[in-house]
Amino acid sequence: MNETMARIQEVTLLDLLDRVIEQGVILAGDVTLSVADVDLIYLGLRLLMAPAERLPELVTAASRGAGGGHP
Amino acid sequence: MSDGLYVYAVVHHDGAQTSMGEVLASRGLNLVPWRGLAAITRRTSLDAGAVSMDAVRQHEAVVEALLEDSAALPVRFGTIFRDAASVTSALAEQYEPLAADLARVGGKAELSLTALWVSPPVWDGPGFESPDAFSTERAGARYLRARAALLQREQGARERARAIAEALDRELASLTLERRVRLLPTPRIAVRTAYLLERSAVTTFRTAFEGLRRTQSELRLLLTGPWPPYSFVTSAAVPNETRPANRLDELARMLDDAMRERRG
Repeated sequence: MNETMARIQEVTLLDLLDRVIEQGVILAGDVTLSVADVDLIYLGLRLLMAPAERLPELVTAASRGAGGGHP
Repeated sequence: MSDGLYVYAVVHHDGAQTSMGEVLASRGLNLVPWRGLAAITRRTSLDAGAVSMDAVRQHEAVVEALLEDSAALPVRFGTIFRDAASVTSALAEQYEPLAADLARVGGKAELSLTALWVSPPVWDGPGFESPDAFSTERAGARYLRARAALLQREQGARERARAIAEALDRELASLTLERRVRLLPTPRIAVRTAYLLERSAVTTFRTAFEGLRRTQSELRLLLTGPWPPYSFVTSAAVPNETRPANRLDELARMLDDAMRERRG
């Protein structure tokens, strides 16, 4: 992938994640990942951006950091 | 494992909702109404804490499909309620600001413009001293002078970013209804602007943007969208000051690391 396409893909992804996770109507749900569990959602983002072979290691690290797991 | 309701968007509720019937049925969505509003929901496990790219894309796909047929306010990803009573309670609590937002931005589109530095700004000349110039001074004075030089550079970058934002405004603002501008949101981004506009104006805006983009040598301009009007929603149960600062910078850094890793 050339540099321009990579940059376009990165900015598009940033725009998507910034909007869907950071913006929009905030309703105080009973389980609101992005408000009640701020750190988890960012650990979660690391998971979804990682190469497949690193997932086991990252899931383990995420579980330890979150004190035992996702909500 | 108990079920809950995942909320995608808030829409007008007129009792009929005929225009949305097909979208709701095809995607297994339901309406939870409260007076003149309704939440678009889908039954989900309360343990559905899966933060995956698929879940993010699915959320966005549902919201965009809803916007094809009607005015809707996009709800932030990952909002889950235990039951319909909790949903209606949340709608009731924010009824007036939600209704006002729906009237103002419902049915409209958002475009995102990012201006990236082609190369980081370098500041030389009178008044912009390199920290290396202070190496013969005593440590304390050297630190203060270096700090002052750094602040000067940052101020220079901010002024340059502001000038860029104003130049973009001169070309594009007249085509839009509202905009949200961020200067230097990350070290690589000079300006990031969200524009709210009528859907019918998107093509004209794109044409103007393409003309502008071809004239830039200092910046790389990228335009994404149309998006649902996430950035122009004002109704919120949680005040903005409770959110950690510099979240976008952290997100951009994570993406940058992940993309670099993927490119090897």
